[in-house]
Amino acid sequence: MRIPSAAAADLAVAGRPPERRWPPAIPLVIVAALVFCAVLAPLLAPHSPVEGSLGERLIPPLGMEGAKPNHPFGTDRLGRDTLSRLVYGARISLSVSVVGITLTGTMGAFIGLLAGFLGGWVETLLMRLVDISLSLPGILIAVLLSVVFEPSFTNVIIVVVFLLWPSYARLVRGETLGLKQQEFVALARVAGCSSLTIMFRHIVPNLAPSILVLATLHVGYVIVLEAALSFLGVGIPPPTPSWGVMVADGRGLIEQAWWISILPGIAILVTVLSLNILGDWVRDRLDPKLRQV
Amino acid sequence: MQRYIVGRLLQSIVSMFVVSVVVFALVRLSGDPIQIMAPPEATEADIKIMRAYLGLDRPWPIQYGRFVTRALQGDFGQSVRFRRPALDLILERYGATFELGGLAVLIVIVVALPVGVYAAVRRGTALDYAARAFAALGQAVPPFWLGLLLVLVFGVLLHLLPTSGRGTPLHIILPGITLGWFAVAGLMRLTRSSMLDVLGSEYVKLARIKGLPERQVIWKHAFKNAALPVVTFAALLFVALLNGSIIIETVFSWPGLGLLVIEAVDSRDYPIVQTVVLFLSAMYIGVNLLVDILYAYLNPKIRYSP
Repeated sequence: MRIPSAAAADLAVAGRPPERRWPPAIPLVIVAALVFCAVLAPLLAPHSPVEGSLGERLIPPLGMEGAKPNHPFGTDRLGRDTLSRLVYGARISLSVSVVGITLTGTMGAFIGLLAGFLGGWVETLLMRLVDISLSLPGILIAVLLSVVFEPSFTNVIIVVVFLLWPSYARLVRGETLGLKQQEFVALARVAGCSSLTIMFRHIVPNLAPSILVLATLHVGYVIVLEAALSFLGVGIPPPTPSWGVMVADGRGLIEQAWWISILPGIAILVTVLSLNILGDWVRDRLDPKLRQV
Repeated sequence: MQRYIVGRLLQSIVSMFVVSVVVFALVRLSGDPIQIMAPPEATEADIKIMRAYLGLDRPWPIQYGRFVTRALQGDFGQSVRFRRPALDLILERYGATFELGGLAVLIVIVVALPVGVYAAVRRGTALDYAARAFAALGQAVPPFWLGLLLVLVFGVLLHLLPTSGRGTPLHIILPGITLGWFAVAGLMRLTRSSMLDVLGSEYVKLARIKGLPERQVIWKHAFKNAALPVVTFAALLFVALLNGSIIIETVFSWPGLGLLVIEAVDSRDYPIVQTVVLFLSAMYIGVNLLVDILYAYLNPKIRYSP
């Protein structure tokens, strides 16, 4: 008879993984390198990301026959340097996630705060809005937006905000409901603080950790989303070197020039994996009760 | 329960209303259709007649009313590119999308559920680590890129499988696997964590103390209870498949609704984009509604509430 599985089940309940004080090193280094590339792209990239020379089309990466040392990751069908495009691509990925998540986080949190703090019909109305928003298909909205307006950075941001604000609103509403019952809120009221002061001086600072955790966990998701939209031609328009655009560029050339599509995909994979691992770490450090998020 | 269902139904209707307004408004914002349709030599008077004929001189709410009435009668306008009714094109294409989605669901059920359950039961073993690594990878790999990677390996390098179009049963293998992959990762994770919660419960301990065979403890006592959150995931699964189908049909040139809509975006074929968006949104909202009702039925806390 096998007992171990019961024991393992017990462990499952009792044993939370031991808290790690330091963030996991490899993902941290990767993300730091990425930010570095994004900020210093013009200095780091050996060539222009959008201008190629037609004499240097489809050069394979180092290690393959016909490679050239000045194009270590090869070139695409217009002779543009893959490495330079990858470096600039980090800019797009990071700016979409930073701008998108900041906007959606602020907006969602504000709505959640209003709903949780004010209660009553405001809460009912706002939470119905959340439900409706969750029941609309985001990628289709992106497709529609791109037909009506030209594909653009702004469209991608609209889609990000549209898809993510409900999770911030729900989270913040829940937390606010809890905080509202706390003594310090009652004391602030006794001390004569207005509702606005209580909301922004006393409640908002207490919301920060949860919002930060959710935001960290969303970064990887937003990067994949942007790449997918750009790949479909409804996100960042070419020739801007978004990683998704790059994968799409190489699609028809997968037989002759696999590197055009495969390398940016690896960049996305490594980035998102690192960000997700870091996100889990931040969550465990700041707010373990969010484990289900 | 009845109250819950009625409320949920009303909410779905509101959602559908919002979608239709958004679609209507965005397409109207995209420019004056007369400018596109009228020949250059048309006079001011011709344009006025044309505008009146198409009802474009009426107030927006009335135009919206006409749009909805026609849509409900199955008239979604003509495709600009194919010069055929939009509805006909959709009816031709949806079968391919469902075929692909069906295979993906099958892969998900056959792979994700058993692996998720046993990863929880054998917590900390190699199987568990492998499952978790796969789940982590599954969330980080962009779907369109995985598709291309499979094309490169199985199509270009090994010459084993066809990489685009639809025809023989072999054609569906690569798109099916790509589409299934993502849903597998999410569902596996959820099944595992849900099973872990249940395995620690008193009634599972009791079942073990009674000396029931392990298989019976796992599937009859534990899994049945762990399945509840998994049902909710079915809605998310559908979302993943819907979003995925647009991307994956594009990668593999699979002639379904996703490819239709992306091609329509390229050729600015508004009526097609509009119709596919309405059609898929209706399905999306409908499936969400069904899943919520199923969940309410399975969950006694909601079932027995007034």
